[in-house]
Parts: sequence; structure tokens; C-alpha cells
Amino acid sequence: MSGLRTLPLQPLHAQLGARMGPFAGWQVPISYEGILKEWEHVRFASGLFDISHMGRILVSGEGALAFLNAMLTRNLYTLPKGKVAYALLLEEEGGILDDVTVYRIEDTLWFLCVNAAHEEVVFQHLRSFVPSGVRIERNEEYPIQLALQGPTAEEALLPFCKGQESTLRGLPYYGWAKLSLMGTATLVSRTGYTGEDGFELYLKDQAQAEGFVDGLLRAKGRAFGGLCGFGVRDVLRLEAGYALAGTDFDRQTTPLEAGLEFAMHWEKPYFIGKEALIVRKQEGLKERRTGFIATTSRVPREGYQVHLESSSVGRVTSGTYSPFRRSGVAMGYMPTHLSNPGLDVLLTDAMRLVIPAKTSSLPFYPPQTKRKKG
Amino acid sequence: MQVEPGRFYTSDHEWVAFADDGTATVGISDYAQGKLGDLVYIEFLARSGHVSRGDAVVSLESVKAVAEAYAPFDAEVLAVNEELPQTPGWVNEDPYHKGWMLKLRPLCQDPKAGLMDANDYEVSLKGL
Repeated sequence: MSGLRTLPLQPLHAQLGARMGPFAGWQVPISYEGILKEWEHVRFASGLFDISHMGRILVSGEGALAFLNAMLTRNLYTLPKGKVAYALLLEEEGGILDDVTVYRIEDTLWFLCVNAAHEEVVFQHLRSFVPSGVRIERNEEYPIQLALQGPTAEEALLPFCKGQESTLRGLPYYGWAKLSLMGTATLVSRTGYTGEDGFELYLKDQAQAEGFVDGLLRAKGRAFGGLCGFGVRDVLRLEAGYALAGTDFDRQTTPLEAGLEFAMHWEKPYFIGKEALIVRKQEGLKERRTGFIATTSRVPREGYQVHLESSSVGRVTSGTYSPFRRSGVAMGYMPTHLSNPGLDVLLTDAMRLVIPAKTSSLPFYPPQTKRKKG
Repeated sequence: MQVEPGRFYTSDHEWVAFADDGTATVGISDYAQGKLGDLVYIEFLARSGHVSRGDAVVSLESVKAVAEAYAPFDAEVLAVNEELPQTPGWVNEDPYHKGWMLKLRPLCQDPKAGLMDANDYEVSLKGL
């Protein structure tokens, strides 16, 4: 376990009997009750994830909006206060450094949630472009980040937000609010990585977080199913078709191949990477992110080759067993002309495993996220 | 984690139950199923005929891992648990009974040689 960072709630995970493992340089809970059980919690009730490993960065100052708007692919001028946006941070050449969620706290104060493995890269990248009058710092106000996800997440969270029930109920998808959670100010957003309705909660201290987890566990069985680990998190995000930064795309990939164009606002006069992407678009894409559904419950995994007849034509970047599809599912890259759904392919590892599969559109599970007007 | 008394065990965490007629039933231990997590795929690599000690005889896949079960000794495969590919979760729920995998007829003098009894296996798990 040497060299791995530990989560603030590590003692609680140990006490609850979590199986621990490494992820992005952190020692994290992989599973508590088994991945399939935890999958049921999230798809049919709600489950709680400790995602304190995520990177949290604050950008502030008079020029913060103009600066971030040049750095990120989304138009932040049209993002209302109280809203969150999914956005990409690109290199000049168009490669993806990271995907982030960005919170407009004030016009002069922005909060970024970034992937743990890329926190340092993002931080240094932002610093290398920062103009005077803009401050970039790591957020230390909220050391604990939890995600409560599932169709009954709202119901499970309500008892902890006494007096603010209407605010919580009214929170739109990709909206945020500061709520008093068990008496302590907490940043809450209606966001997640599971394909379900749910919330991400930014908490100030360990005692508050432990009290919250304890309270949820006492109510276990109705709106709240239980704690969930990183094992099921990967299953849920794959089913929902969400690409994982560093695994399903990286600096060698642009948002065009990765199928992330929805996060691009082309009408913006400028953002880093825009020019390169316009050229790339004109040239045409060589490959596209594609889904694969195995015809068995055998699991295609990262690094598998995609074979069409006898030649290798594509690659799997991540895969899992999908309890929803009751089969192995994967995402990866295929040549553009072979990326349409329904093509029979073989997914193979380096040894002897051969998994018959069909190319598929994404997602494998239609997201049930709450799409309220906000 | 449970070690079923009366069974014999390999260092690869298969269990073996010997019947009075000399045939043997094989599965994986509670420890092994716990390490793998929820099983989603089981394929028998040998359904009949002769297998040698150490041959991969069952391919197992959980959500997060791939593994194989090995023949504990030279043997003839008499039967496989035909229901298991449809219900791989039985190995997690009940590894010593419903989760059995193969029935074997040993083809060696002393099939128990090289196996641990339940006590020794329990001790070996403490070192892991």
C-alpha cells in the first residue's frame, strides 16, 4: 500500500469491511457487499460513493471568467450562476488533457472538479496560461466529496437537509446549491457518473461526513441501499456510456474521435484547441469511440483487440459485465467506416480468449438523470 | 471466510470431496470466490476425457477478474455442473455445494498426495 494516498474517511471504510484497492494513486474502497448487490442499490434505490480522491481547484479574480472561457470548451458566459457545466480542457493540438465539471460560484469565483490522475497536469496547465489578476489554488474548504446516486437519492438526502427541502427538490440537473447538511454548509450539485439521478456533495470535515454516512446507514433498506465502491462505479459509468479520462481518451484523442462534441461550443470565438479541431474536422475522422456488446457474459477488457474477419481493426479501451444487458459490454475505437452499430466482430486478448460481439451505439443503459428546467 | 471440514484443498484454492466409491467432486473455496467477487461467466474447458494435474479445467470470470480452476490430480472427467454456466452466482452463494464444478475419477495412486486437509488449508489462509 506504500505510496498511495489515503482518503479522509479511510478508517470508516476499514470499519465497514470494504475491500480496498488502488485507483489513480489513491487507496480506495473497491467493494463493500459485492459489485452486483451495489449495482442494485444504485439502479433501484440509492448508493453512496466516497469520491474524495477527485481533484478540486478554485479559480478566482476579476479575469477568472474570461480566462476559464478561453481554457475550456464550453461557453461559460452563458452558464448561469447556480449551474455546473461538463467541459473539456484541450491542448493546442486538440488532444484532451482532462474532462472537468465547472461550477459558477460567483462571476469572479469558479470551482473545478477534475480527475484525480490529472489534477497536477490540469493545475500546471492552468498555471502556465494564467494572466495577472487570476488566482488558481487547490480547494481546501471541502476535503471530502461524496456521491449519492440512484432513483431515490433525493428521498434519501432530504432528512439531512431540514428546512431546505424545497431547495433540494428544486435543484435541476447540473445545478448546485449551498445547503446546510446536518448543520454544516455543504456544496451540493445534481451531478454524477452513474446514469442515475443523484447528487455530489462537497463536505467540510470528517465528523460531518461520518455523521452523514452513519445516518444513511441507519436508514438503510428503503431509500438508501448502501455504500458502493469503485468496482461498481466503473460498471455504472460504462453502462451509461461515460468515457473515463486517461482510459477511454487521452492527449492522443480529440473530442471528435471520443464522441464528446456535445461539450464543445463552436460558436465561441476562441478556446484552446479550437483551430486544430476545425482542421481535423475538415480532414475527416479516422476513428470513433464505439460500443461493443458481447454475445456472452464473458467480459471484454482494456487492451483487447477488435478483429474483423482475420485483421485487427480496432481496440477496446474499457469493458465490464453489464448487469443491465446481462452480457459483457465495452467501449473502444473503430475506424469511422466500421463504427456503425450491428457489425459482427471478435474481441480478443493477447493469449487465446475470443469474445464474439457486435458494435453498438452508446450508452448501453439510457441515463435516468433528472432533466429539470433550471 | 468458511473452510468446509472434511474436504481437501489445493494451494490454488480448489476444494476436493472424495466419495466412498473413490470419485471426487471439485469446486473453488469460499476464499477463492470472495477474492474473485461476483462471478458472471463460467466455461468448462474439459467436459470429458482425461486431464492432467494442473490443467486448466474451468474458466471463471467475475466483473473485475479472470481466473481458472485447475485439475487437482490426473483424472477422467465424469461430469460437469451443467447448471453453473446459467447460474454462476451459485459459486459465490454456496461454493461448497450448489457451486460444485466437476466430478472426477482419479487416475493416480494417491490423489490426496499434495492436497491439504481442511485444518492445514485454514492455517495456510491465515498466512495470506
